[in-house]
Amino acid sequence: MDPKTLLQNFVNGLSLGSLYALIAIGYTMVYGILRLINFAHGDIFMMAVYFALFFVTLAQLPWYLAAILAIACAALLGFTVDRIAYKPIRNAPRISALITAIGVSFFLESLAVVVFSGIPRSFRTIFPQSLNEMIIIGGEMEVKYGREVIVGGIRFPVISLITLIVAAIALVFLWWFIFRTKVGMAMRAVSLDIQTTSLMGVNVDRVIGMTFALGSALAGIGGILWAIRYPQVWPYMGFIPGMKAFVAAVFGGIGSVPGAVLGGLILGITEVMMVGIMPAAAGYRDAFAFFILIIVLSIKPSGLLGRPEIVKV
Amino acid sequence: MSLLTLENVTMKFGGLTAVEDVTLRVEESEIFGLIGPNGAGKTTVFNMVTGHYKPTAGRILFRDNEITALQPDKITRTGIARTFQNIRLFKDLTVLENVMVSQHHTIASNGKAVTWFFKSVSRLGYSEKEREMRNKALELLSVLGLEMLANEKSSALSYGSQRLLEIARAMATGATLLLLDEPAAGMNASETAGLVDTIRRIRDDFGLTVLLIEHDMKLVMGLCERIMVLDHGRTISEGVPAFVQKDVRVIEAYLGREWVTVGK
Amino acid sequence: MKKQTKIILTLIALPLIALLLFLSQELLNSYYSRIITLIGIYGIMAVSLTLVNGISGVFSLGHAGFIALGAYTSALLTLSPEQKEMTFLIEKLVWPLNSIQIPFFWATIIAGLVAAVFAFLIGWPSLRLTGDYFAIATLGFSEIIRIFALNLNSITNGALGLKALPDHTNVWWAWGWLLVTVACVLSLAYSSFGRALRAIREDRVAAQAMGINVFKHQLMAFVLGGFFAGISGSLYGHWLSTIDPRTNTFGILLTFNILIMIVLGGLGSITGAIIGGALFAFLSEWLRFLEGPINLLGFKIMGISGMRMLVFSGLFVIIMIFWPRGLMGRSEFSWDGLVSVFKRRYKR
Ligand SMILES: Nc1ncnc2c1ncn2[C@@H]1O[C@H](COP(=O)(O)OP(=O)(O)O)[C@@H](O)[C@H]1O
Ligand SMILES: [Mg+2]
Repeated sequence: MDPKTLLQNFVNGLSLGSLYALIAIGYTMVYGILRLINFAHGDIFMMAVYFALFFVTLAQLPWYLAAILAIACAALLGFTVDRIAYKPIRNAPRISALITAIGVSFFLESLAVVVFSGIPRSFRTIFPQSLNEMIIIGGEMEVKYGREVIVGGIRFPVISLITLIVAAIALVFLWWFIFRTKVGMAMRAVSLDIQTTSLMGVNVDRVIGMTFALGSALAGIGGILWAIRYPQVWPYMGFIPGMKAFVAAVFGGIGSVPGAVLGGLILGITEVMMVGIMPAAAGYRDAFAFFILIIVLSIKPSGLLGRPEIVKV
Repeated sequence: MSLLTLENVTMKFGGLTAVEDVTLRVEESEIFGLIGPNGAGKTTVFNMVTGHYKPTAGRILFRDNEITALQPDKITRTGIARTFQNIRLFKDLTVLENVMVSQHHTIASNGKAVTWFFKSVSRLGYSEKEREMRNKALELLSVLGLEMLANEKSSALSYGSQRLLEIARAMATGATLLLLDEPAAGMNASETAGLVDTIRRIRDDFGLTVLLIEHDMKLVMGLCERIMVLDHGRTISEGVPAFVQKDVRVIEAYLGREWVTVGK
Repeated sequence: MKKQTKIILTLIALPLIALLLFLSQELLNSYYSRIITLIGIYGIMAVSLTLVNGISGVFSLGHAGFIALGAYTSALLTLSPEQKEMTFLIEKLVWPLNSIQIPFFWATIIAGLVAAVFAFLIGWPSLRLTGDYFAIATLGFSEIIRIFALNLNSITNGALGLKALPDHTNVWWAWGWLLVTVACVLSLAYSSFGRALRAIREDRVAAQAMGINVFKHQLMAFVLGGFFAGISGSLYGHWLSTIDPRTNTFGILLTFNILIMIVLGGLGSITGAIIGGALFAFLSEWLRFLEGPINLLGFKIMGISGMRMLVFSGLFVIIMIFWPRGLMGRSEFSWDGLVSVFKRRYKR
């Protein structure tokens, strides 16, 4: 690979990775508090895209309003899922919660099939002309049709750069939220020790609900950016990105937000690089993440930045 | 040769040193007490001996064989079994089944597991061994006075009976060294008195050695032949009950330094 | 009840079930007899997953992967060389698969063995993980199988899949294998070995402290579960007569459907798994009306596809929240139990 392609792939991978990171944060925060793999997270990602589609096509809202509303709806949906499905079984065995989460995931998928139909839709035409060119850029294969930024003779798809900028803003906001607000402090406390925190008079259920909402909002942002990049919208679109983001969260050390970001970025970059080096293996790119998962779990289950968990006896 | 030897064992959890440089010898067929205030590191010592935690430093020997950081099931198969401070019975299994589980390793270890797997699936030569295990389990239950409860779910037992069942279950592994973690916790006075007799009896009848953690000082002083006192992970005193009882360091550890000075 | 009485009752019941199956084949139309066959297949899938998820206390989400492996393996062994020549359009099927054809029974056995080997290979690294991590690793594995099925043209025929499988699977194969599965899993679950597995499920740490090699035991249970999943895959493939990797037939959806069966029946009960399988087969046929055109008070409503899945997944979540023990809890069918149920009825 010549240095130019390498850099191009690197930026592409970085932007794909930042999408994984945005989704992975939701997994990692919920896991950090409840020790629950929220299987439905990938489906909230999917729902956010449908919400955006709905707001633009049916409600005829301008794209930026539609995006903001869709993200808010995703947050509300995450909050609701926790209230209805997970809260009643907080004290049940962990495996029940996991099974329920799988059920919720399938429920959201079939809900999307029933409401929006299972036929894939295009996300491409829904944004107005001013942004159209930018959006047409789509997936990597279509780069040449879209607008590109050329720096020092190297072409970068605009969407990759926009993704990076939006993700960076979201992460700064997240950092501010977790470390500079009261709710954020409560979240950190709850993830350290849920019992003690509830004894201190913190409304733990509300904090957990906020965590779901925050994680879902980030997944919503990721979803919309994802749909601009790969403009096919369908009810099962959340499964693979969701699983990969989970892999990223495990890779970075589940429970750790910086770990989720790091894991997401590394996964995105290696994935794009792998396809760049071995184009013949492109069909297997989705399998790649799972190989990484199994390897990471066998070598260092606590991930890059996670703390090893000692089972208390 | 001591039965169990801990040589300069240390256990750190991140910044916290739970056990520091502890050396301990338990001789064949004695009843040895490990005491100390809450959080002193007693349970951690047990967890290291039984392989649940890997010591940060030091060695653990059983009959002069090093067992440091072997897997817990391997250690049990060499002859050490334990009870748990926070009762960990197999809740959904019956009392009898709880005890029979501990005998399973005698038929399934040393590469025989696969053979037994096929025997279980096909039921060949199975029932006679099963009957043997059942009889032995019932015998152990009657030693601890639980035979009437054999077919109850273990979670249905009273607290005291659950603690006794934990002992029966540990004995059923065929271990020669029993580690009992607060066996009298939650028992009333008469149950505790019964427990003292039971522990002595099983030691004599089954040729066992007992290492026990207990907060009930009356029980400890009456039952144990030797005692070691831990405080903040360190050994502060060791010897026969009469000696330990009078040791100023022990009184300090339990009641605080001020109290001792005032008392003088 | 005496042990002998029970054995006699069982010996009467088995031919009776066989007779009922025979009558169903003779009297019912092919639509219903196909469903009865499907119940047998679902039963095998559910019982084998119960062994893993309900009894041995690991939580696998990879069952569909083993079923797919079984389906592909046996299909490649039962299709005639000429058929394979015609089907494999993208790339030629590799030797020796392109030139062999063996009887269905042996193809099914080999399907089970291949799935068992894969269960061993996946269980070996991932059973060292606990709980959720294992669930995710097995889910990942079944995705990997699906992705390979789509891309490995010279073995799986890629996206085209395998078509026109001989319709070997009838009621006798399905229920015969169900009987074998139940006999094996039951005798394992109620042996010393199964007791150890249930102990691990209840408390992994305590089981290990009682001398049980947790890893080995769970691995063996997982491999046996994989074996029967492979068997069921062979039967399922030859029941469907096509294997299409682009649909969700062998994907995570299948695992989820089996989960519905075993949760409905009671997680941990073999009897419950079979009942759950039967209920699922009936319900999913019966609920078809939701997806066809409905005539509501004279108004014709177009069928909405996906409604069945919505109902199932909604039902599933509701069961998990309000009724986590399902129909059977962890108890099994027993003649004593049956008698006491009747006695209670009679008294009232
Ligand atoms: N797995 C663990 N992780 C972190 N700290 C632990 C762990 N196990 C024990 N500790 C700490 O080690 C110290 C000693 O605990 P323990 O051995 O249980 O005391 P005790 O003497 O009451 O049995 C305590 O401060 C406890 O919090
Ligand atoms: Mg303790």
